[in-house]
Amino acid sequence: MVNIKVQVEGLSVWYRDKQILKDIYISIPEKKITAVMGPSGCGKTTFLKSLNRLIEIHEGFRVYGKVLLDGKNIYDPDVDPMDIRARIGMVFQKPNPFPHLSIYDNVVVGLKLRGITDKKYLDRIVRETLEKVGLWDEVKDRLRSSAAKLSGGQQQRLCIARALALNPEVLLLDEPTSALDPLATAKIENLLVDLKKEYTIIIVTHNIQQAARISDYAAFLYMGQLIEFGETKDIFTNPKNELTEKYVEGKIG
Amino acid sequence: MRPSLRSLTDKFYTAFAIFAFLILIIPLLHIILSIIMNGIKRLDLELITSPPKSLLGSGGGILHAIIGTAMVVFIAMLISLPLGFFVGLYLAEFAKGKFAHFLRTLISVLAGIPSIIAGVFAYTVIVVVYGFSALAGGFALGIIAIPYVARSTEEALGSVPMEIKEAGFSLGIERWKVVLFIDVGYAKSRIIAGFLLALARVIGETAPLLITILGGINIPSNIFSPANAIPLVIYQYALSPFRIWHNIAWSAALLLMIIVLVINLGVRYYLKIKAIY
Repeated sequence: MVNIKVQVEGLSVWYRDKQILKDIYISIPEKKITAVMGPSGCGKTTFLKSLNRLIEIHEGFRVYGKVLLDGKNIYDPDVDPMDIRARIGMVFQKPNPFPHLSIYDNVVVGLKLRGITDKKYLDRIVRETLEKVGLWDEVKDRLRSSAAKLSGGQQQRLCIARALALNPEVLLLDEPTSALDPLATAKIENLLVDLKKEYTIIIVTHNIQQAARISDYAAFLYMGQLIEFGETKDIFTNPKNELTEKYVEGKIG
Repeated sequence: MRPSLRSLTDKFYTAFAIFAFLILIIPLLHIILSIIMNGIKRLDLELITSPPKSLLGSGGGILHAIIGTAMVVFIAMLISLPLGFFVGLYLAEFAKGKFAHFLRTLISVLAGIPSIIAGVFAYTVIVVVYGFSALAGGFALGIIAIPYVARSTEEALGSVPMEIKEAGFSLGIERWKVVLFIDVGYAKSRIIAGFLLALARVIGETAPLLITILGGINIPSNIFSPANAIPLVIYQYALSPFRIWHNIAWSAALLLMIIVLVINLGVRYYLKIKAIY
């Protein structure tokens, strides 16, 4: 029996007068990779951003329903969204390291701006997280140089390190490999499989093969509705819904 | 084949555009070339290292005005940088709705008022109390520079991509910290470029200085003493009856033109290096 880390109950999201997500119920298991698939514009990114309240920095969105993290609704008024975002890290579609900061500072900027200045601790975190994402050997001699000089794949792994530096429990990834070449993509996929020992991972992807390769659970989102959710092998070999079947066969794009 | 009406119209407008361009460029080139040709004679070391000499001898320089300009511009930056920066930051990141609209209109109005008005204001606020001084001139130029700094800061911050802001917020950082440490850091080079262009904008101002720093031939000893400035020297010397002073005015104009050119080219070069990363 697996533990449920994130429980979504009746999540509906509106953007102005348009409903983006429609009454979504889903239970995300702990320390597994859950893939959220679906065609472009189905609400995948909105769903992801609702899980760490990042949606709230954008104007015009309204969120209804509950997102329970370890049983506690993150939208409760006594919850600080800053804490939620530190506990639920996020990696974006386009690698977005801070180009004005060094590699070192990219990793620890979150900690520094949250008031942690102990140099020894920061040094250790930089080393640990960069080792975790397999970047340490590539950059250890130029930690002070700009992050903008790294390749796309390196930048994306740096962004993962940046999220991990805050020691989150959940890692959200929004199509993290869509801007990368196959080799860099493979590295990230292997890394994620590695990381699930420690973190609950939710990855949005419109790459069906990627979902099949790395995820334990898969959800299929279509026009704002959760069509099907279950173990990845079931979704791919024995989908219950006709739409899911069409999608995994590549008939809906 | 007969040329169609359309191609004739096309030729006419092309010719007209070239004509308009020539009308614009000829006086501009004339000014620049006159300044270079007349100013090059006295653009020497003495010009920038010595104060004015008596009228009887030749030579003498404008060191007093160079120091005065440096003081006035420094004070102007001291006033306009923080104020303009925070107004621009507020407009870019926090202001919404009617108040933001009001503030933007106000900035435009401020940018549009004649610079002499800023001089008159500085006169009533500072000259009346402390007398003619570099401080009063710096205050006037500072007021003129504020809207430029505010606008360029707002534009620089507006250029920060949403992905960068999102990345900041996703690390659980409060809004003001994201703005101050992520957004401003990202837009740093463009903000600095805006500062420098505002400086280049006010360094040639003459009218507000006429009634605030007074001019004169002494090197200002502190910010409360009367001072002179390069554009003011140009004005005063150009209107004098003396050939020697005319020559110094031309050279001072050339010097000012070179300073502004160096700032502008420097900004472009600086932004180009920054853009590579």
